[in-house]
Amino acid sequence: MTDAAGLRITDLTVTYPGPRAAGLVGRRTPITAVDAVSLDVAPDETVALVGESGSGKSTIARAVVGLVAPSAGSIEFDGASLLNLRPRDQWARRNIAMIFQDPRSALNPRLSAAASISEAWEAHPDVAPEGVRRDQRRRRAAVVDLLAQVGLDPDVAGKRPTALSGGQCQRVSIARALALSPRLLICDEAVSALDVSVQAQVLKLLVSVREARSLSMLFITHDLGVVRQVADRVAVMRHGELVESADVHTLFTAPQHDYTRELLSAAVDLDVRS
Amino acid sequence: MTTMGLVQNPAPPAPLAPARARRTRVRRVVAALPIVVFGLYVVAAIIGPLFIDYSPVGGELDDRLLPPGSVLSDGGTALFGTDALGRDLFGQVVYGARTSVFIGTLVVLISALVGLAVGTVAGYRGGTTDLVASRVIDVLLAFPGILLAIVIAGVFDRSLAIVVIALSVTNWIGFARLSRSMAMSLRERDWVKSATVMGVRRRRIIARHILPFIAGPTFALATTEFAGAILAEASLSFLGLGLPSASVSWGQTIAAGKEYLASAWWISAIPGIALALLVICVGFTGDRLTRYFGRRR
Repeated sequence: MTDAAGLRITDLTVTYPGPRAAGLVGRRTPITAVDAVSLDVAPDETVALVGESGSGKSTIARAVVGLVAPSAGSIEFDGASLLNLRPRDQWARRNIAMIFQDPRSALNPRLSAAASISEAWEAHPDVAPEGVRRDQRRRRAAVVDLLAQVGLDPDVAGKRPTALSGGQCQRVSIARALALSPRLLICDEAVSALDVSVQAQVLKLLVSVREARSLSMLFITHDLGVVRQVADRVAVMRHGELVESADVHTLFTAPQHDYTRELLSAAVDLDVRS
Repeated sequence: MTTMGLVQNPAPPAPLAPARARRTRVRRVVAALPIVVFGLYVVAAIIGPLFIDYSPVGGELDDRLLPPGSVLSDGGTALFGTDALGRDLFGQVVYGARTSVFIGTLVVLISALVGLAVGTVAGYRGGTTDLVASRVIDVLLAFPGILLAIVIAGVFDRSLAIVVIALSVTNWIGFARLSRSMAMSLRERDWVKSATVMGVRRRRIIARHILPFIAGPTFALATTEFAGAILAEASLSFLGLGLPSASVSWGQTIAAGKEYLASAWWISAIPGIALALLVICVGFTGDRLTRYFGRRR
């Protein structure tokens, strides 16, 4: 393992234009969503990013996949910068896939599961399985193979998201994310919108996919129970800042920061009540 | 109830009361009426002129100002009467329908294409592109559309192309505003974001993940704009700024009858009714389409 392998986020700062200070023409006061956060995700490692809503967890994920532009700092994957990529250098992001929170809106409602999945191959023909671009039978076989890896029947391929359950949609999203054989999977609250029973199944699937493909994972969640099951290391965020980062055992047994202790005790309270 | 249903055969659904069934049928027919009438206009515009074996702009002065149903000097019947130059109004109404439908379709096609392209790109890309497009739209909105069309049509020689351009200059704005607002909301959907994350090209994202969702509402808007374009063309022709005088347009026919309103009302009234009926039916059809696509969105 070289020093530069995996994802390296250094002093990442993301600001959004805030409301105007005065009336219609006043200056906008920028809102800092993420403030000088540094975070690494090593190969094969699963890092959980936890914190309350609005703490900047998702903004970090969005910055990594290029959906928001950081105002300062750097993001590198395997030593190559992911910022200000020219169109022809977009392959750098091919190694990173993202799974969104709402399984239904993450899939185009007018496209079948197969079309959603194979879109990834059309965008990156260089990493697509042999012949899937031209040969329809091979494409279908490749789609069915991916669906099987996420525990779905072949007949799901022809169905649209409206004909699938939330859990099935999330599995299709995972299959789509795996289509390009990524090395880092970012799960942005990937199980929060699912039923509790389905949550466990999808979580199990994510863990088994991670093992099978030796994926690194950046797991964003506010659910500490989930963190315990999947993460190697936990980073705690509050108001855009990283307050604590430790391996999962240390964090749960000996939290250093007051806020982490607060979070943990809140979770324990909930456990006791339920 | 449920247990009973399990044990006994479920009772057959009660037939609708005859009066209610009749009311539902009447309501359906009434609702379909505008679409049928609109369809009839389109059919008349396309194949109507094939059945008219005389020129709608030629006529005998002996036959001038004949009321509807009169017999002409050549033995034929003027169903809608004749105008001050003895020209048959029925022929003018049918040929006028062709002109209106043709110009309306052309204007809507051009406007929809331009509006969709500008609006979708501006809404999807945001930033400077959106700023520039929005300002252009704001500036054009400040002009009354028909006034701008009158200026353009007045400056150039009368021709079909000028009429179409003059009407399209402001007509695309509605399409641009609709597609811009829809593209702005669609680009925030997760399926668009995940396509972006996957590295799908912008052009493809627009074509595959954005345009299909804008198409329905655009079609509904196109119907309404079609009615507007027909009305505007008639207005231009009425003012003498539309088509060359050798072609037939309802606006010209209405204008030709305005001096005879007291003595020969039919010259202006019949094409006027034809125009109003078409615009009303197209409007109703547009409303239905808007409701349909609104439900589906």
